[in-house]
Amino acid sequence: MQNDDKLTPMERELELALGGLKPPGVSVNRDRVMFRAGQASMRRRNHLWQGVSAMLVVLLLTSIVSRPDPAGPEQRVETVAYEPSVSSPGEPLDRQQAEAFRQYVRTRQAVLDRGIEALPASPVSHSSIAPPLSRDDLDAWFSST
Amino acid sequence: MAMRSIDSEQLSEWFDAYSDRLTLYARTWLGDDAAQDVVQVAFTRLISLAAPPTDARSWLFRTVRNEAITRLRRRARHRRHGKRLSAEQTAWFDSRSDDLIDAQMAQEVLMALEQPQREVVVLRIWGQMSLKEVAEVVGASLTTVHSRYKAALAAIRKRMERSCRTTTN
Repeated sequence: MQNDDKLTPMERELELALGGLKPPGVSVNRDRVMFRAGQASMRRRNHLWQGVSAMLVVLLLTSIVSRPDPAGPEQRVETVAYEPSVSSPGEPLDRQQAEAFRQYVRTRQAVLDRGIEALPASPVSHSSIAPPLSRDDLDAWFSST
Repeated sequence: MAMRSIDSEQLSEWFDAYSDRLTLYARTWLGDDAAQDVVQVAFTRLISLAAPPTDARSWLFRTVRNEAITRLRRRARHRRHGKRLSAEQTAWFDSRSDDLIDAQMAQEVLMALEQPQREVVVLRIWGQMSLKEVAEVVGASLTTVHSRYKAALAAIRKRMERSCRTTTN
């Protein structure tokens, strides 16, 4: 008990007399208290580990969700694709092309069978070609020059 | 600086030093069984702290006080507190032949005090605190606590003198 409280001698005497009274021995079950205290301590440690685990799970999920692309930033590669202008063999030719092709096959076969004579006549008109020069023509030409 | 948690040996020392005083203090608020329970709760909370309090004794008394008040409010029996306290109480003190004051009479006189006065007396005398420490536990100013203590001692003296006169006559 502290003696710093400005009490009168009578008050201090009464205080000392009361202080002589002792509370009864411990009625609280000591083992029970220690057991409960131990339990509380373990719970606190468990909470600590649970908290750490939860935080790690959150970090893991965050890292998975916001994971950067392993190939780095997106790159655009321009490629040029060439498409054949001629239809593939499986596709039907239009009528004009088919007729030209059949004509070619027939002509080829005729040339193979009968020789070059089988070639059709030139579409150029004979009238447009000048006749070969004769001797008289040549003489006339030289005499004129 | 690493925080040091409370080990069982330290807890055991505090239990031996303060458990009976804490139980007496709790009894001035609650019934006997509830007082024991409150003291258990205080020690359980103490071991749950990450680091020991600076003043374990004050911390324990303050925790017992808070828990007792919480229980009183929860059960809404504050108005009937005085009657139930006197009806349920077991002995607060061991009765010995060399006591200067009769233990039973002291208990009755203390029970008759208002709770704020009784609390200050118990903390000061059996909690072995200075009035400054008492003020910190009860959350009142030193002046208020000093006034309560002086008034309580005066009331105790008056009642005991009256009781002695009655016995003598």
